[in-house]
Amino acid sequence: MQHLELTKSLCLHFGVLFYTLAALFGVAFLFSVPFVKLWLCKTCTLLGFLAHTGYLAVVWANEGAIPIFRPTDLQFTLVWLVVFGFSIVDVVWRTRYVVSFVMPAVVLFSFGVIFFIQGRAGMHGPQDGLMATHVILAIFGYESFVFAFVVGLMYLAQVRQLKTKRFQSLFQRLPSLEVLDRLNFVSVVFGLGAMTLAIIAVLAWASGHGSYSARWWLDPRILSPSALWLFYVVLLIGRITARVRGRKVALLTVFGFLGMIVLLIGMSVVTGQGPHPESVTHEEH
Amino acid sequence: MNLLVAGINHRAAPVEVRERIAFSADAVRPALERLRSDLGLREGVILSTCNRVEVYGAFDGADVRAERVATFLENFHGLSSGTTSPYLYAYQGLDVARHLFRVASALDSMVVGETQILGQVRDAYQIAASHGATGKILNALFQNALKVGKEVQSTTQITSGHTSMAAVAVDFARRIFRDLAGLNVLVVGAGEMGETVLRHLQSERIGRIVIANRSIERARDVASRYSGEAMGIDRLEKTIGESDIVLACAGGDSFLIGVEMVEAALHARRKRPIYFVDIAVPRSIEPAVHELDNAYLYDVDDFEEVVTRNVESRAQEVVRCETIVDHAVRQFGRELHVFAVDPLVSDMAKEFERIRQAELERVLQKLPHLGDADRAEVEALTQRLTGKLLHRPLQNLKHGSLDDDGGDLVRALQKLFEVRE
Repeated sequence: MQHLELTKSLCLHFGVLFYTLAALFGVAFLFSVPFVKLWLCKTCTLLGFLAHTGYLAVVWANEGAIPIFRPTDLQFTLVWLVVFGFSIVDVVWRTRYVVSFVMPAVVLFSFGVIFFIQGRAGMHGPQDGLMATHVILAIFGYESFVFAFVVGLMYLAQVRQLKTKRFQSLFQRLPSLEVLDRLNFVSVVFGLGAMTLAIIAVLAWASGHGSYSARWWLDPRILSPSALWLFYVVLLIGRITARVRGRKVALLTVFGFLGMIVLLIGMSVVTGQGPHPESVTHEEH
Repeated sequence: MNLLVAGINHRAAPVEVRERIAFSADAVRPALERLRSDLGLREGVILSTCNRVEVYGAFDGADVRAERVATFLENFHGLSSGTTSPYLYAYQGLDVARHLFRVASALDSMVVGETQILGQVRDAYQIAASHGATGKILNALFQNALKVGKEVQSTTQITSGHTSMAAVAVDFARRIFRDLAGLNVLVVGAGEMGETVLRHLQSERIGRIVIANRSIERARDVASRYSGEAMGIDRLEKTIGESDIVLACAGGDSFLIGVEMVEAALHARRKRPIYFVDIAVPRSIEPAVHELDNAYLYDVDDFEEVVTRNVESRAQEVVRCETIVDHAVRQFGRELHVFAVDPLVSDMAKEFERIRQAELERVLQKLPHLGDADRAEVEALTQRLTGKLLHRPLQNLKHGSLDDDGGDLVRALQKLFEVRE
């Protein structure tokens, strides 16, 4: 047991260390710091990702369940999916420099988890199949919206340079607008699909457990995700019908993501609990 | 063995001269063979590009004068005497290395920092090597040059940024579209600059090309050269909606493409972006088009500004590149020196071994009572003695004779030990 805890701790620390190095190299590369090469950033990302995978594997082995039922594990799984997803995008879409943008966000998020979320209460075990399905789908949904957010920021940065005609070193490093727009669209479609299924799963779970209150439509835990879901539906319809496109879509995805963060924080403040308060049964170690 | 380079380049000779002495791929092999027979070079490489023709050689003994290279070039290409000699430059010794390293680093190119030259140097070397025209001196020289060229490209910003308006225009298109292949291009007007940009775009395998011009005959003429379609200027509005890139080079007293026209075009194409390149003077596209979402408009001044900045940025990098070249030349000088003293070192070692063998034989004949073990011990003693006596002088010869008195030291040893020069 002690051996597993030590391995888990080492993996976590090495993971964060390599991610931090990757972020530093990535930013330095974007701003053309001499002697800083992209492969340094990519190698550190790979090493960090391996350590991160090790951490999640140890947690999984230790708990006997997918590491998504405690806030810390859930967030680290989300981060893992973000790094994994962007690595796939990097290979498939040949975006090359996207890793330089993603790693700083990953590092900030990881430190946020370590300093603010670690130690907080979580669900005990996988509950039942429907709740597990809900959590997994919601993770994919949030991950996709993180994707859309990062890609949206990149799009806005590129458009700003093209429109102001002030071309910095970033100009050459960023993928084309078409690639970013396409990535944004795919992320929103995927995220919305996953979120829709997650909501259906949790509604089914709630009806089975009699968790609906009489005035459920005023419950912030239902109201907030529904508002978010509706926002992305409207955004997607606008994108498909070409009412909004390019810069406006990017702006809306950035605002949508920020809104999602505000809603999640607001939910915790209003209810004094996380999104699954009924499930909280024990404190993290 | 000494080194030589002689040739002409874009700086010294006009293109009329350069094109007459350029070597085609088929001509290089016979030329390499004749380098040996006509010029007495032991090793040779011919570097022939559109901007330079240079003969690199390694030779023993007597000086190979640059005039002989000029004569060789003229004879080989059947030119009259004196065609090349007024433009010829030549270097010997380490200056050859400096020159080649600068060439491979694109510091001597017409457009400083261009990347094509490194590949051309590599090809020239590989062709010569495959025909057995290179030996250890030119192998070392060219391998070092390729290394320096790569280092300069990877550790400095000398290659960054485009230095022609057309290349910058195409680069901007890549920042908007994922792939230029298959994109529809509308060319408004039929100016020369427009054709230059169009040629750059065509190398990216663009899709449909439409040439719109006030004179339909002129439009047809240009369209036929680029497998495009011709049309009159009156059908612009509809065609803009079908185009991803609009290249305007028509000029005129008023704008041919206005904001309303572009708004309608964007609406028709469901707000997919349009990239406008206005290289006409006076401009053909209303500047306010750039304010529209998903429309990106750049004119001559925008491209010029980027080109100027890129050229300045490359110029600033030249100092860093020259430092890399200096360092590489010094290092190559050391390699060259080791090559030079190697025969002397080998001769001295052989001479000592000959003396050791003779003396050992003489002593062993006087001591017939020694057993096998004792004989082996005596032999080992002589080997250790000669080895230790030679070790330090030979090391000093390899490294120490790099100093100014190095040549004297080599000559002194040659005389003292009566070994070959």
